[in-house]
Amino acid sequence: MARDTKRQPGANSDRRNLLKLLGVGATGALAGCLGDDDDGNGNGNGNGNGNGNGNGNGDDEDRDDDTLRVGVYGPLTGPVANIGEAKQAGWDVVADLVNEEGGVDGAEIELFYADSESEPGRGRSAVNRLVQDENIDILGGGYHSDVTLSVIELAHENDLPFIIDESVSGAINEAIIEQDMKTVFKTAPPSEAYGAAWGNLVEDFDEQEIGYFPFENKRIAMIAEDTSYGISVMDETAQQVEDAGWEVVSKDEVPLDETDFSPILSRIRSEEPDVVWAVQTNSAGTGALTEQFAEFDFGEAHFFHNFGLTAQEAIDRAGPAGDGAFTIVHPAAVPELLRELGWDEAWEEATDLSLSGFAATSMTNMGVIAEIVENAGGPEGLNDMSPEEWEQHVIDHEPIKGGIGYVDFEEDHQAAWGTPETIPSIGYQIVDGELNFVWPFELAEHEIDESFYG
Amino acid sequence: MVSVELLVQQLINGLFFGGQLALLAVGFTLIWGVARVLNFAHGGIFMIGAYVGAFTIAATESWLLAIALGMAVTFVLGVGTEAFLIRPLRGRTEFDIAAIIATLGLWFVLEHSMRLVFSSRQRSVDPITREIWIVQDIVINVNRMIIFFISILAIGLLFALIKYTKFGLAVRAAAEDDQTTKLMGVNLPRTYAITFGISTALAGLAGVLLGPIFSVYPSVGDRPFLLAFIVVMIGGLGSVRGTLIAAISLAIIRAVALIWTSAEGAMILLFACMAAVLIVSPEGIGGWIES
Amino acid sequence: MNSESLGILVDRVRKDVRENLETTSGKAIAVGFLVAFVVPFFAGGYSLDVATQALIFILVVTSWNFIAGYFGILTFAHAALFGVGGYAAAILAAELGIPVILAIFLAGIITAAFSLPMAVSLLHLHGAYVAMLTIAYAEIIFFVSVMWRDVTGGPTGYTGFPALFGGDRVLLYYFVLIVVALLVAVQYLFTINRFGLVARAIRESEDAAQMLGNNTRRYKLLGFVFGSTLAGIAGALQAYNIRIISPPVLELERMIEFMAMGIVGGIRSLSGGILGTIVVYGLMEVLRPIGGARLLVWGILLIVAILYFPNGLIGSKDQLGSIQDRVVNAIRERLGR
Repeated sequence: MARDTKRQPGANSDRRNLLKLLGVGATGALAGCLGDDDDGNGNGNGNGNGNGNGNGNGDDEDRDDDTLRVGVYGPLTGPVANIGEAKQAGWDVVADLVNEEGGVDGAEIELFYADSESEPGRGRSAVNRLVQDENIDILGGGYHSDVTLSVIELAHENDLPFIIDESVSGAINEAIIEQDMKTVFKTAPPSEAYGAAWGNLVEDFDEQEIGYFPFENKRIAMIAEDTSYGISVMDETAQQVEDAGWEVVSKDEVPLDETDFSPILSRIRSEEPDVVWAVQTNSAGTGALTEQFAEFDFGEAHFFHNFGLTAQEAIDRAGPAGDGAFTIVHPAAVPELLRELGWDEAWEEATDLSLSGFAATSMTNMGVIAEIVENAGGPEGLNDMSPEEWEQHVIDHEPIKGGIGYVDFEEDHQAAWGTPETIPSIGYQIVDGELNFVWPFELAEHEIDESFYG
Repeated sequence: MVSVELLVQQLINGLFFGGQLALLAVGFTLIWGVARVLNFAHGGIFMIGAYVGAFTIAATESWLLAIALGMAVTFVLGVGTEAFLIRPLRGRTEFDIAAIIATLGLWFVLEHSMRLVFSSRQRSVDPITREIWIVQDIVINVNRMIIFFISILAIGLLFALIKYTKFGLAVRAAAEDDQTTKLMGVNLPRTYAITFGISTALAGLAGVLLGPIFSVYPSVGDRPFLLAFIVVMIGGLGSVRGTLIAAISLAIIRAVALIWTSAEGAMILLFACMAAVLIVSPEGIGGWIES
Repeated sequence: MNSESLGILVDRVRKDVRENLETTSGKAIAVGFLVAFVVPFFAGGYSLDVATQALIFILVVTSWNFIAGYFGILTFAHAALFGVGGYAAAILAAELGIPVILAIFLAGIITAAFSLPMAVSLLHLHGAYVAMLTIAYAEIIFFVSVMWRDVTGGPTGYTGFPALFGGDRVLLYYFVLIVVALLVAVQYLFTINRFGLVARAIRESEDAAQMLGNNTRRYKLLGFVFGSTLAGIAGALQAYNIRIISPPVLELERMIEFMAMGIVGGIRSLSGGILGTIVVYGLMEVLRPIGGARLLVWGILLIVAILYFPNGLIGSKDQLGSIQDRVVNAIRERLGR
């Protein structure tokens, strides 16, 4: 990585720090010294996997045209920093691969990270630094929907190309359309895609008489973490399964880090549901719920979980109790595609984290950015594009193969979802602590193991 | 109609969870009662206990050793906090405020230094046992039951210590009136330091025991601390008995309420209880228990 | 009030202002204010955003200092009230069509209304009990912001409200600068008046202040509600600064950050609040590249500040002595008749 040769300590960066300090009217010396220190360290913020994608080269004025400056943001610190860590590794790995293979139209990808700290004000401010000080050409990333809602405004104001990877909320789609944000595109399917997936899964299971299916009374109890993600996914899913003839016997919203579900499960058990369904993102909470579901012995009932149970930490936490549970996630790591792209090997080499859906999504995010910019004529071509030209370029672009499916942006700036040719939802069955890819049946790599439902 | 089984089940669920809460809350209230320190690092110390427990169990598979080490480390941490962080602040006009700020700082330091060292990964720890008893259709998680009994035992020992020993006499005297206690020849700094250590060791014990339930990660102490905080608020700051009663009754109220309402409804009820206590008797139920 | 006493009052204010301007921090603030006016000429984009954010934090932190430093009421509800102001300003403008600038000030009044029940229950409490009570209230407000989805937008937050000045960041900066400067000036006038003296007296010893014939409860009530109003206005400005208001803005962690700024600068003066905000917030911006370790720095700052600089950066030893003497003398002179 060219960081060391490009970095120019001294006058230039000092001046920048001084301006920054004056900008906040800061009183000199203390912060000034620290500013120097920070440049002296070369702004190193690699994630320790040795790929050398240091961020920032300390000067912003003389940018090179042989680099593509990509900004990415996510919750790198704070309560879900583990997710941020996976995402960061995802961007890194693919950026390195692209660079090894000659870069984007000859230009090397240089990554700049912004930490959202899970809070919109912080996220906006961090991304703004990348926009103004680091002169990024294009932005990727996301996670918390409220942060992303603040960041899309910023991208829109600055006509900055932005490919959102992970944020789900429909409010983002609304804002993009209402404010005609030409530069902003969204990869992760909206909440209704989860609803649709569960609706389909339940009907498929009914038809194929999987496990205890079919049921006579079709009763489902639902639990969601009280985040915008959890609540919207629960509401969409409830609607879809009700359309499929199910009765929702209860809906509970629980805090993100709740780990004692025994009183909720006790009540749900007395309702005699056929399916207990939950949506969570926190591994500790997910694992605890899965374990406690098994403890309470629901008889002939299935445990369905949305998203959280795909994380290795959650499966570890659930222990043997997890076996037989079903989980759906999207964007999800599609093993076949990851193999074809060689991303799984690169991941293994770079890090010992598990290749989760988050990681695959960020990998895809980087891959999509590289591909779209490549076909726009590299960084130069990208910078020459007007927002209208960029918008048309992205919409007209061929579907791009990624680790989560094929990314194909449509007129409404949302990537198409729900089929194997787009971004599919993937259903797993937990078997011996492993995620077996079992649904949709036409894509599946494993048969459903019926032995758990004797 | 509500079945008897469900009601009994919820009473048991509430009781077990209340015991866990009490273990954390009692230490928090104790150190306020004796030394006028509102220890905001209590959740952070719980987290340290959880890490020590998790590592010990991973290395030795011995719960006894995990408990002993967890309590020892957090005891030392507590004594050190008192000696190096709190003692220099004594004598200031707004000592209690200064102590809050210092312990807030300690909380941040503990949580974020652990994050730097161990990342945010949520480690899982095997429980003491995975055994489940089903008696008359009532589910009893044996691990939680054992945790409950250890908690009650620890709190019982604390009561005995305060009531029957010479050290307990000094503690009670210091809680009443520190100036007179000093004149009586009690070594106040030592009393404070040991009390602080006992308080944090209880948090450490809670961390070791609850690691398998909560998982172990740097911010694992935040939510239990907040819950303990609410419990102490209602139970009465400084009142060990009030806190114990509040912990168990709040947990039972929540569990029983969950028969009829959703989880949000139960949370609203808890917050309403808290608001009601704040308005009627800001000193909590401990106020009228003790008087 | 007749013209003679008004004249005396004006003279006194003038004298105090002059005296304060002669101190280092007074001069620094005057210079800083002038610098702040020219910032947009040479700082665009990100630097301007940082400056806008710093100004808003100055209002929050000084108003917290006003409550916590002058009255000794260690409130933890300030971040929650900051959030209440943000929600109120956004919702008033978007749902009721109230002009944004008016909505920002109405948000202050609504925040005052939220702080009133708190203020009443705080009156007979001290120190740590105040902390407990305000945390409880802050948690209730946070919980409501998450749960009351129809009004607050729930966990996603409230968004899509009209921008101020059509999204012009420079105009927004000047608007924020003027509002913050005015409100800091109002706080300053409060503190150099009888009001401020009684406040300090309450902090030192409420009983003594009361014995001297002051209705200390009225003062505390007024001080708390006034400071909270300013937090609400700051929150309203923040909503228009970041264009979304969501529950994380209200969280306890934000509160601790505000406290750190106030404490590092010096809790007992407004200039401490200003200096603390600039130094701590500036430091955090500069430290952004170190990522998570930054939060460790918050903690260390708090500990170092409380152990070694109990009066903050602003209160170096001799200054402290002179301030204390002055306060004690002034209290004797003006109240102790």
